[in-house]
Amino acid sequence: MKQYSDINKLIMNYLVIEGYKDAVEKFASESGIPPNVDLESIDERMKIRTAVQEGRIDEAIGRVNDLDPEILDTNSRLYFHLQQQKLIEFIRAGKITDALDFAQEELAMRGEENPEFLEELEQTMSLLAFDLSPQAPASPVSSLLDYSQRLKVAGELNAAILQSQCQERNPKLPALLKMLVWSQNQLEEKVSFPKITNLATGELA
Amino acid sequence: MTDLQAMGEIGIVENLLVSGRNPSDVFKRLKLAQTSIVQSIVQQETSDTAGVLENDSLFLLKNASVWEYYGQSLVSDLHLNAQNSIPDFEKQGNIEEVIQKHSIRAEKLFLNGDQSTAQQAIEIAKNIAPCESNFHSSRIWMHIDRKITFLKSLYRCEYPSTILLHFKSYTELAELRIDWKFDARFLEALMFLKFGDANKDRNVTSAAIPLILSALTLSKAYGQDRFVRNAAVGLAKFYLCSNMPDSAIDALNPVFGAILVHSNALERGAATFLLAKCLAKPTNTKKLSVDKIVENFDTAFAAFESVQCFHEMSQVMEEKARFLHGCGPEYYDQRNAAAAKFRWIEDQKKKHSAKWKIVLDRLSAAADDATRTQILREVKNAVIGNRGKKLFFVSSPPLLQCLAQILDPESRANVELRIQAACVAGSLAWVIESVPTYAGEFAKLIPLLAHASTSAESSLSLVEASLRALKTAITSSPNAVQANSVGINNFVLINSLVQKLDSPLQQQQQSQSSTPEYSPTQFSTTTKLMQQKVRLCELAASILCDLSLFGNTQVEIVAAGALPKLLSLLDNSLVQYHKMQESALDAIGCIVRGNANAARSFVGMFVHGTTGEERSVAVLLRFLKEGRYAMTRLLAAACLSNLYRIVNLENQRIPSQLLLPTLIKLFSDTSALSTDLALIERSPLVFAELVGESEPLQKLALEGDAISKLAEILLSIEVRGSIGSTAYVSNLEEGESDGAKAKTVLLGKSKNDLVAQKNALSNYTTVSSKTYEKVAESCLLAISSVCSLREDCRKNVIDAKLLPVIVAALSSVSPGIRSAACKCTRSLSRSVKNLRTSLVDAGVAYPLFTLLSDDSVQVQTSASATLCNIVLDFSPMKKTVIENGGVEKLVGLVGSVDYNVRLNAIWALKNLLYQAGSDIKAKVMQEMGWDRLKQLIFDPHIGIQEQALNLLRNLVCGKEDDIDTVFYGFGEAALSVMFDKKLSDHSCVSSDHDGIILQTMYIIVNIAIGSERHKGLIIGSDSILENIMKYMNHEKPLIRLAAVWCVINLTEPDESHPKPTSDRLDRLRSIGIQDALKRICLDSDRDVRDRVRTALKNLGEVNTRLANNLMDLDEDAVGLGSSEMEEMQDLSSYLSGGH
Repeated sequence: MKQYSDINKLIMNYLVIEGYKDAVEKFASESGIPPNVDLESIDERMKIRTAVQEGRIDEAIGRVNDLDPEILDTNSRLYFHLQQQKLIEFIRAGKITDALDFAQEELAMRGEENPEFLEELEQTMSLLAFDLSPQAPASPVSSLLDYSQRLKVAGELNAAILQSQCQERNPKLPALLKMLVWSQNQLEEKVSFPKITNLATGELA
Repeated sequence: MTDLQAMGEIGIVENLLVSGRNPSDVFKRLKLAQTSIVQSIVQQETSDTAGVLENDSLFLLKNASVWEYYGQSLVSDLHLNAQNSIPDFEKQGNIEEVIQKHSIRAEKLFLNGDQSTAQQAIEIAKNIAPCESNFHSSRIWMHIDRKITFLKSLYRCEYPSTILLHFKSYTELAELRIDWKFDARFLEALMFLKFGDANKDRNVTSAAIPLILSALTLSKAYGQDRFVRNAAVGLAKFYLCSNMPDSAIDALNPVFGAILVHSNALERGAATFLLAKCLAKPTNTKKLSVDKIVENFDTAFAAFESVQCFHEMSQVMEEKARFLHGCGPEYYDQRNAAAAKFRWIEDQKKKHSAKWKIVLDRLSAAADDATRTQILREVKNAVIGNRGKKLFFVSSPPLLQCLAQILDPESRANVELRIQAACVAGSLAWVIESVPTYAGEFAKLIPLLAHASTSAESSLSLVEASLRALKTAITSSPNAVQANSVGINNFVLINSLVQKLDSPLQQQQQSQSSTPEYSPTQFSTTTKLMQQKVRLCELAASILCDLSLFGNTQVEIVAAGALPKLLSLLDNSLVQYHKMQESALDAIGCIVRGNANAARSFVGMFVHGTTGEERSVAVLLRFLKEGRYAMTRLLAAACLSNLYRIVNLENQRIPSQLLLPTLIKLFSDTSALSTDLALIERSPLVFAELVGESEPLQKLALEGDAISKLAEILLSIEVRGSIGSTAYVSNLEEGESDGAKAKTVLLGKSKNDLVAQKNALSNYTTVSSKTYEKVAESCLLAISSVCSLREDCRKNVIDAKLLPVIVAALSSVSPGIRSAACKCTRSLSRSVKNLRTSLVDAGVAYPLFTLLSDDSVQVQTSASATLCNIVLDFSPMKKTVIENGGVEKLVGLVGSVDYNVRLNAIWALKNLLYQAGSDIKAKVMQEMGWDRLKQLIFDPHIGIQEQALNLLRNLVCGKEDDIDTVFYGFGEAALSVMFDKKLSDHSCVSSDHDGIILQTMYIIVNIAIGSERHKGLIIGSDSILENIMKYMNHEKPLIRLAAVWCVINLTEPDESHPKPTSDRLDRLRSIGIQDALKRICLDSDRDVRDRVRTALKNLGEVNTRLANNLMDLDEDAVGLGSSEMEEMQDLSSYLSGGH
């Protein structure tokens, strides 16, 4: 029984951190494991993540501030990245005047307060210098326009929110599985043992 | 061939222009044409000179028309002008000269305000110049180009980081030529003056002074008039900052005429503005008419206006308006005009903030709560995370008033609006320390927030928001809050905070027990509530932690019952809420710190948690050993360390075997420098407090490698950089030519200032480097603590190559670092060996000495305490201090308002006089004056009295002349009266007074060594002799010894004056001194016993059995040694000097 409840806890941990609200709810009533966080906060966290992923930075900032105003006040790097993303969205939408105005008013200040951001700032600003039409050759900074950049910022923000709620930044389950695979590989070189071949079913070789 | 080519190019330009092509294409073409023309001129390829000229003038005309076409009439004028001067080209023909001519013209044009033409001139030079940048001719235009770019960004007040970038690229080239270098150095100084002005930061401003001085000296040596002018202006600026308008005018006077004749618009403007400001100061003695002064303001304005220096223009108008305001009603019209102009310029400057002004206007116009809530949300989202916006909004009284109005309990604002207002206030609170002018206005919100957080009617979210705002305000600016917290009812606030500490666990259990069945919705609300409660606990604990630093609040917090509640928050079942537990640990640590009652009651407490009963100390040890996060372990260590130093922890090995290794490990992980600065900042401080007073722990710390770990942090690039860099200084020295080397005295002095000032540059407004400064400060404090008591630790510090860092830190821009570095020096100077060698080699004396006049009292205190050791007789640095006006400065500090500074200053003077020559004694007394010394001897503070008496004692020690001087200066009668008062004053018989008695007795001892006249003063006074007799029976051996020394010195056989000697012996015998001596000849103290024998021998009691036995006495030591021997005994107290 003990083992089962441990695994259930791991699963709950995974579901909460990854933000599967409905699954958490179902799993909680089936397994009787309390989720340890309120479901509303998961929901809110997911709304924020989606907002960033869809490029609605202002909305994300507003929601984070409603959730916990300290997150962005104490995490200047994250705040910079959100502002940077906002600039990128302006550029993506072709609003060059807005982008310039915004950069002058906000981003230059950030660079001044935190010189370590200057390099990233410069890269972002150089987006303005390149032709961004799809047929143009890729510029050295065009990766900033990729969807992955949004995912990166969304992930950073998600982690900061989790941290502010005293939760781990990453779920335990994937880390455990990685460790399992790694140790099996290590072990394989030295001894023969009943190896788990199918991680999903726990089937042994 | 090129001329034909050029003609072709010009033709193409024409075509492009007509066909409406992209301007960049047109200009590209134009450039090509220009290049070929210039080539043809320079190479003179064509035989037909007239043809070239024709081409060139054609080109220039074309160029002019192109610029005209794009709306740049100024530029086109330039081309037309250039066309007129074409014969010059023909005459010179030398490419370098042509480039130079254009470059110089560009500089001239720029400085005279014609920026666009200047840019064109540069372009021309650039186009002519060969491509390779290492050609000499290329450097010329590049240098001018970069200089212009730098100056532009400086005058436009761009962001400092941008300015610095331009400055960097400019100086790179300027290093190449000596005249450019002077210029660069001066411009650097200018930059500092500007930065300092803009930030009202005197430190930055004064960092410019050494630069100006060195530039002035070098320029004079090289006959560079322009730099002499510039430097004089810089000096004048400094004098004006220091409110010395007359000196400023004097500095300006010799160069003012030259500036008006020779220099450019900016310099003229700056000098005239400066003069106007000096004349406008009411303290200046040259009374000119108002109109004359206004004229100066206007001239300055006109000069700046021609260059469109908005920042300067607005300053001139502001000053002018301010000046006219004080001139009476007949100038009000003029004043209003100036003020209007000022506002106009400011409006131009603040285009961006205009947008937010509108938001504020909307806020004050909005009537209903919903609109106001929405606007405040907008403001909140703008300010969170954004320092610039915070500064803007916190400086807006209407906004603050609006917040106050909403938060007022009497207002009928709805909860949501109140929450938003509290959030905005909380976010603005991060910056209140940077805006002292508005801190008062902001502080009015604090009682309102406190009320909102205590009121029973408030919703949990409102309580949370107001608590958060309170916490931020108290943490970021404790002084502002404390000074303005009149409206807070401390008792109510503390009790309400303590109430909020109820363990969220119990609340949850209660609510759960009522609903045994699991239901998701029910559960979700309870978890949400639980998490909110956890946050409230966390906030309340950290506010209590901050509050406990104010005055008497520790006691009030304990009385409100905070400790058991905080302890229950540490229960193992709450371990997932580590941030709350950290706050609780921190609060416990702060509450028990130096508070024995609280500590004792805490040690006796238990926590009744889910895992049964646990003792408080055991709980802390659990966190220390098993805490998952480093910060948790550190805070537990801080608690335990605070407890250990005041109460007896049952396990004696906790400090040595648990605390010390944990702490050392915490700061040993230097990777935290990039990940967890808070940890690296705080752990050395806890360590410093732990080992500060314990020699065994210092030894263990040394063995645990603590010093080398601390050194590793201090020497890391980031931390070292926040202290100051030496690379810049060495560059400067390398670049100096021999002529300049002669002036290194001046440079040598300013070297450290240069470091500090470079440092100021890199620290300018950057947030992260401020944190590194804090790290440097706490590591230096840890170093000073760990080597305060043991020589091997000191040696280890020196071996770790930390001295250069410490010396650099003495001149850091951060007062905290300066003070910490002083403390390090002080600990190191407790070793005689260091005083004679390492510290001298490292050159600590001068920087340390300059810190005596530091702005911060904290720094002054540490510096004066450290100087006490530096000026001891055997220290070679004594000379440096005296030569640099140390006596004057220390005497000045004796008049300080701060008790510790006064005490340390007089302590240092006393040490300075220890075994000093008559010249130093005379110098000190000349500075201080005898009346002042008398006042100090009767100072209200007993510590000062003691040091003053000790100083007098050192004055009368030595030659008879020295005693004569004191007799003359202090007055014989005054001495007698003073002895009587000090020795017979029974009103305060306490051990505090023993120091006074001891010092007074030794003044008598020293006088009694002197001539017959001196001895006469003692022997002639009944009360002194009575007192000597009395103190032979004092409980302190040192005082008994002093009394016996008095007798020895009075009875010393003197072959040349047998008569007076025997008279004295008779007098002493008549008061029964022998009996008194015999009574203590079996004294418990060996020294006393030995000296009693000598005294008895002197008195002719040679036949006693005792005296026979003590022929082994070292009799030679008597005369002169009498004072010396005692001084050596006292040396340990000298060496630990000061407070």
